[in-house]
Amino acid sequence: MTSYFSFIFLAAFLPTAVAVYAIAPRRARWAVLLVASYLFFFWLSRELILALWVSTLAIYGTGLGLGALIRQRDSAVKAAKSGKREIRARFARKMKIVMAAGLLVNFGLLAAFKYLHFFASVIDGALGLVGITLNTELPVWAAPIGISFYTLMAGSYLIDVYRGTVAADRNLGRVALFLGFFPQIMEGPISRYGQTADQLMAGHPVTRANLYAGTLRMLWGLGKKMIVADRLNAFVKPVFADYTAYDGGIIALGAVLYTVQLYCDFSGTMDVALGMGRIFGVSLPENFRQPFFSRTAAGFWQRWHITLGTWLRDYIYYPVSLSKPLKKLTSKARKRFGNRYGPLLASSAALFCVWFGNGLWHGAGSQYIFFGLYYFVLIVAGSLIEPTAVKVAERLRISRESAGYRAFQIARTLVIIVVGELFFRAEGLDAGLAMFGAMVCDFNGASLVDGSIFGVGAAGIGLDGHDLAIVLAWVALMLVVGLIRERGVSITERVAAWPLPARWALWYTLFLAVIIFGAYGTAYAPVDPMYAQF
Amino acid sequence: MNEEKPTTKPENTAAAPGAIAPDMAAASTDPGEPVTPEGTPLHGAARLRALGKSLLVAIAFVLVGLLVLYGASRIFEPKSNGNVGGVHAAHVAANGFLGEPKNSLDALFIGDSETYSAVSPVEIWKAGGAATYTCAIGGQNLTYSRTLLERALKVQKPRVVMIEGNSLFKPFDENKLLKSTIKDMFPIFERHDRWKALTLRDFFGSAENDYVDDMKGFRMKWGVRPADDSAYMEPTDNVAEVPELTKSVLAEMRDMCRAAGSELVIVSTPSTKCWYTSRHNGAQAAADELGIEFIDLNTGDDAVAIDWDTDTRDWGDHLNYAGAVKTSQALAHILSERYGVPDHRDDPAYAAEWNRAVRHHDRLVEKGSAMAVVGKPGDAITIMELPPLYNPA
Repeated sequence: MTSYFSFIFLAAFLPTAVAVYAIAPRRARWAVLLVASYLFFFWLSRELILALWVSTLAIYGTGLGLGALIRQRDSAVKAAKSGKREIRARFARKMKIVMAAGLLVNFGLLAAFKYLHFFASVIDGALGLVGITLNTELPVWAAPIGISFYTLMAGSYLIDVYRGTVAADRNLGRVALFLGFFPQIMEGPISRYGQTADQLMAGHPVTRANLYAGTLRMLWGLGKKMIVADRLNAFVKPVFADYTAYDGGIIALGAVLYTVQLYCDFSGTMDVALGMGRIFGVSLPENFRQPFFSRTAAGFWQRWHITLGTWLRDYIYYPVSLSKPLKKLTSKARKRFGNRYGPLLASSAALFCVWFGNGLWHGAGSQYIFFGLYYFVLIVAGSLIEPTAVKVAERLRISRESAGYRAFQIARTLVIIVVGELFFRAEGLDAGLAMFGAMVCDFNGASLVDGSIFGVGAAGIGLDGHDLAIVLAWVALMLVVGLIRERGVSITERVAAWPLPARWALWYTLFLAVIIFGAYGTAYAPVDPMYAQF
Repeated sequence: MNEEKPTTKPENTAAAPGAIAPDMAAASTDPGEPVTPEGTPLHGAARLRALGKSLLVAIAFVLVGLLVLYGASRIFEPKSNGNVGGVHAAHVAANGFLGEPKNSLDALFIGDSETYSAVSPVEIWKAGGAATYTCAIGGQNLTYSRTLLERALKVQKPRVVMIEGNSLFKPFDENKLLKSTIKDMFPIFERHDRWKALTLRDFFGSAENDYVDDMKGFRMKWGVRPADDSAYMEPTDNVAEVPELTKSVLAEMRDMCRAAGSELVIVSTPSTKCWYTSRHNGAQAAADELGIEFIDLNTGDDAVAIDWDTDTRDWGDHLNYAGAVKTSQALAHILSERYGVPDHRDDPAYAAEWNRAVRHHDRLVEKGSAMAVVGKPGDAITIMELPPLYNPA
């Protein structure tokens, strides 16, 4: 079993977990989920489950420590007649240290598993510039599954306890289940303690409605991943692995298809995760909201990997913008650059931290940092240009709310997204730059229509006409579903109101579609969920 | 980033479109109990009836689903064992035994590329008159070998089934085993790719196994890349482990054979790359544990006199046609001496079919010998493979 898409997971593990959960008494259901989650984790990562346990115990202990300090502070403040501010400040310092310790354990583990070699190479490179060479032999460790995701969740719990948003939890089981819940563990969504902890413990029954809606959502996600994403891999992989063999037109198509592949793979996995959550009566947060309808790059990141964006906003952007050094910078900048550009400079500093963090979170590689900073530059530039754009539009009498203008914005944003994903996927920053150069300078539209696309990849492995047709058909279906959802219609609710034969027919149709059109079997190479590597 | 006021409260991103339906939020006062549409919990007989209804609905849903899978499987099953759209050529050759006359085969050879390179049923026929078939695809897993065996035993009653020793050392996990079992039950999972090539015959026709492979599953391959056999079958006490899952599938295959009156035998065809003494030891141990015979063509009394300078096409991994001839002749001898397989060369029931196969085979040998190229180690030689699929003359 390597992922949610393994046959043994879907046909054996999940049904058994649901059955045991359904039969168990309500008070014991959380324990069923926890055992299932640990079994799943162990099956994928073996002894590395120790890392999850260390993280769990660390935030549990640190949370309790913070809780104790908060109680002491509150009673001290209550009892004091004066000097309340000093008391608060004193406790704040202590709490910061305790919180930092907890965060250090968690993020330290993450750094050790993911970034050891990257940091070492950066240090080596820097030292090399001044002529020093170190010859350290660093161990290579495989990372526990989902460490990038659950570490952020652990961090958010600690910070929320520190801020008083949630109370420190005495229930170790609840903390453990929050962190280790198996539908979320591989690729998120990155939920907050306040969102899911109580739901996980509630032991909601398995209802027919939830079973239907949950499995339907899972089938939709399976369709996206297995029909579209896995199929496109046959084209995308050779183009990125061997880009010098292809001209700009093929490379551009590769970038576009990779964007589609990544969206279908990641959002498909999210559909499976949320569908599973639904079966257990847990409402997990959405991670995607029709991202390709975005009108700006900033808007894109409010619709793509939403939970990562909100995490970075709440735990990096706001703390950095509200910090004393940055407030000083803002007032200085205001005096120097005026009321418009002054605050912009300060918020850009905070944004830089966010985008650097976003890039680094995705991976220990220069192309990921580049990816993060690419969006940073575009978003800051967007803010800078905004007033000018408004004036220009007024002069030219273009309505920025007209359908035509919105279409232009969407198209422009799509280009930005595809270029960003090109760099994201490229095998190194050098490759990315070379591919971008080829796309721009060596673009040959002819190769897109003369059949060369069917020659990409090893013989018998690439895409044929049928493959393209089914991809287009499913993408068209996704577009329709996206438009419906964009209007705020809940498809789940609408379908739930259909008569039983129609509901069953829809379910069986999706089921058959995945089985028939899925890119699995002897003619295809297996593809692991793509975001699990982060 | 949006320009919201900073807040320490986390945003409830669960309240997005597609959020949980009303029935979740309106759980009954005692969650877990069946309720009336108004929300009051049911008790006693009414509650049991409601639970019973849920169970019946669930069972009906699963049954209809299985029916759907069954129907889809019927449509997607190839209606001929020949070269129909959407079926990989390798599978056609490996399943060609379906076109042979019922209960006519004396022995089956099941394995991977080692087997289809080394065992030529036509050569076996020429040497001893046994009617055999090679059921093998490249990289074949033991799970697919089990599938092929099950399929074969429905239409054939061989005396011997020889399973390639290499298969013992290709591990697989429970996932693969489960998939293989489900694929056997519902062929739609194996045949789904045929959506690209479905015809009306698939929807309305019935299955006809009208294709006959004259090479009987063997792949005639030419070219010479000599092997370094200096360390070949060096003695050692090491025992290569045969995984438990592999042994359990072998035991299943052994029982299937016994039920059909056949004997399962492990046979290792000659290879310097894929076979060595620790594997010999491991295979022998597994065979002893399972109570089946093990014949090693690499070493000992049964060793085939392979010339590693001329008989291999890829530095010792697989044999070429010359090596296959020697191996097949050795197997023919083993079949008749040890397993009492009769000589059918004068049997009119076999003559027409097999003599035609021999003629076809010999024509290909002539063609191949003319085209084959001999080279030195490291040379980029053209290895010519004659296509296994062709229509009988």
